[in-house]
Amino acid sequence: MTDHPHQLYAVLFTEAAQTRLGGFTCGDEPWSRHVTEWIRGSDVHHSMRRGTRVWLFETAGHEIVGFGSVGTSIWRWPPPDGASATIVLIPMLGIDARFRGQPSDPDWRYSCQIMKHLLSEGQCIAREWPGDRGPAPHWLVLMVHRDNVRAIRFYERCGFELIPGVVRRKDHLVMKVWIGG
Amino acid sequence: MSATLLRDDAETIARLDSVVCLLEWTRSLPPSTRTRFFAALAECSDAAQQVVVSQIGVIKNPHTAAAERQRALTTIGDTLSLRLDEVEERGASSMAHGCQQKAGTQEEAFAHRLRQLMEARRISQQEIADRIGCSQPAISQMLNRHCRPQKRTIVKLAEALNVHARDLWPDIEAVEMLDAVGSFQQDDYVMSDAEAHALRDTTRRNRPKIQPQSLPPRRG
Repeated sequence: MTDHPHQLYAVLFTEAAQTRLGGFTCGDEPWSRHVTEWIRGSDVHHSMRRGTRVWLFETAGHEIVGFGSVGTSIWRWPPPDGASATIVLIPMLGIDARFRGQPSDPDWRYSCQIMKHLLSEGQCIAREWPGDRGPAPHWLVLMVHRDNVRAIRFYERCGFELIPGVVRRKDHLVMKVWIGG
Repeated sequence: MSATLLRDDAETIARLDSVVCLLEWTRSLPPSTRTRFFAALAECSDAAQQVVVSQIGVIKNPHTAAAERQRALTTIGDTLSLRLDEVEERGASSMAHGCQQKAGTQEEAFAHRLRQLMEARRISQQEIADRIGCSQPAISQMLNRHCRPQKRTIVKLAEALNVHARDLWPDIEAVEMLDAVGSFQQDDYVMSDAEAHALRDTTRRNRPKIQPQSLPPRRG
């Protein structure tokens, strides 16, 4: 059976795969430049060393459309509790500026295919969480710049909600979606 | 090439890896230089090959002084009909760093500028490390692009070298953003009250509005 022409494929990211990112750019907006730098520089390796999984997403013709990542982090409840909670997070995802809003068919929109994949991986982490590592994570969170309205709307369409009253470093907002059972 | 020339063993695969590295590197050269380079390579006498191999050994040696590296680059450039600046800009880093290809990144430009400034001021890695209060291996990691410096480190380096932070990393805003991403992943982050309230409230389970689905895997 032939795949749909807009089907994306997930390639597990490796250092060798970085050589394929020569012309890859996520755009020149203030909230985009560092996204390109993250995947093409050493930040991606630093993140992978702490357990983050990273994929390149490519077309049937091996053109790289974007990348995404899923990992976990241990956060602590504020005092006096102070106990730890595991959170699944999307440290970074990006789409090459050439592929934004493509294809026009919303069922096959690249951004949507990528997010479906990351949500599936997040759910997989939550579902297969070993019992001896404490309570399974229930939330998938991501960070988005407050001026990146286009991305915020996209994440909301995918089911994410902004956590009210939370602003992280450099004007980043935090969004969450339930991935527990 | 006949398949019989290629054996399915580690040595052959390693050699093919080197060929790929060479092709990747030369792809970034101007076409005329590329042609000249391959012509020079094809005509390379045994003696010339030995010169190139020995000079690459000099460049790859972490204890080689800057001036000595420069001389080695000049020798390779002369032997292979490459101008000195092309060898420096395009090739030396990939040859010296296991063919890592991170060309065109801000991190690469930073490493290049830092190295240039240190050489111009005759400051060793240990000296700059002492001045900013970090270790020499940390400086080495930055120069070899194995580790991105945080903004505060760039500021300290700039002060130590008597330049502006933007002289080292012009898009300092991108560094701040990357630092923010780094802190987002950090363990032991203590949630704010607002975050704790939202994540403890399991009565409001906003689920995905799209159907999670893994994409078909492919090998890189």
